[in-house]
Amino acid sequence: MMLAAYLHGTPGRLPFVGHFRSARSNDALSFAVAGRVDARGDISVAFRGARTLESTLLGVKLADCADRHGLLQALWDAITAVDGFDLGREGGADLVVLLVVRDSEGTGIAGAGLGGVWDWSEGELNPVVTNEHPLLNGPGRPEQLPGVLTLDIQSDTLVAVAHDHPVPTLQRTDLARLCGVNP
Amino acid sequence: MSAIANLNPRRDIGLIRERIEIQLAQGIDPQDSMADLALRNPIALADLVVGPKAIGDVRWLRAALKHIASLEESLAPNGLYRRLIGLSPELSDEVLDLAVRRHPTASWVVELSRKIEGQSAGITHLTACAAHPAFAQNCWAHAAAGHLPGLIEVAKRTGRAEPAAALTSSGHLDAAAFAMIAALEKMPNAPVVAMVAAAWGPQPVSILHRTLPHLRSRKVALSLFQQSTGYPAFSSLLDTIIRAMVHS
Repeated sequence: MMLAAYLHGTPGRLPFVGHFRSARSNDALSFAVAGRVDARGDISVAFRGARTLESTLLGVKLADCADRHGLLQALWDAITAVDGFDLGREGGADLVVLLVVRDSEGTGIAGAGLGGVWDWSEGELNPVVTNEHPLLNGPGRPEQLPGVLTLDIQSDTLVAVAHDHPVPTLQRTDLARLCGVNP
Repeated sequence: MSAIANLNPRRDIGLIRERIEIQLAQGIDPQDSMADLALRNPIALADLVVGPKAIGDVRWLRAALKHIASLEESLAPNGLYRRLIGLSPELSDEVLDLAVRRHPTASWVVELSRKIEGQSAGITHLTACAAHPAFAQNCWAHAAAGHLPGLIEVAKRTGRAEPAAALTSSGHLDAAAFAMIAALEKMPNAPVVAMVAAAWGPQPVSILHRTLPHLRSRKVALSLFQQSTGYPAFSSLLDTIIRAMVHS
């Protein structure tokens, strides 16, 4: 099954300002990324920033990565290399992102600006990272490679909320749509 | 001059009604009498305009629209405007116009619009409040009420992206695509793709594809192309279509 990462939308009429999503895989490696940038800024500027990040992530060459750790490093490098001017009025300092990487040995997650991460399998939500976990750091692009959490479960779909999400819990009802995932 | 100046609105309401009806029958403008009544006793005025024994003459009701502030002091706006329309359907457009200007953010205006404009509900309301901060909120309310043709027409008239985003949020995807193109025809720089993505999610490609049957102009297609470059497969398809379009 394809690896998927979703970021819950912000409550309101326009929940997905500056949201981006990307996923790719080859025989050995997979990644899925979901995030948002400049979510409180101008809609058009945020949109351009989000598309810039998507195209940057699509440029990461999986074949050049030895394993999921190398892939994660490549993803962070790609995100960090984007010019701050392309990421809205805060230059990427408000970036919220969930990165999920997988190889034959396991699955790891990392991120920035997250308020919680859940595994979403067979219609059930199970917390992966909540409360005071060190993975739940502040928003923005990291100055050094952040930590990675290796999952002890087989998870294909991970759902995150941003650090400023008003109620950091999730409900299963209509969850896909609330994450901007539509048929 | 007021024909009721010497009458007491509390005591002589029946007589006042009679005199006004005589004035109307004689073709005399009731405006002075109405102004007098509005000044002295707005409740009596409301009784004669929208009460159980209201004077149903259209000239009287039209004159009453000039004293709408006095009438609103006596009756909740929602019921007041409905009653005015009920008493004189031929004044519906004027009443709706007044309602949307005085109450651009009121939720009941959405239903009132439907009652008066039918399939085109929302045009008067949204056009009137296009520069008001409540424009987006009202677009969402009309979209939730299913006023699709009205929202498309508003996109066409204003060039705003909000109608398309509102339709997207309500799941009216074909109408949303139509509204995107309608907005671009008026305002080629309207941020329709960004707005729809903000409402729908970061991958609005299925909606973008629905815009294609509505493309009539190369100029609009180019605007859409410029906004869609973040979606390579769609923009590649659109590029092919643009190359096949004649210059306009």
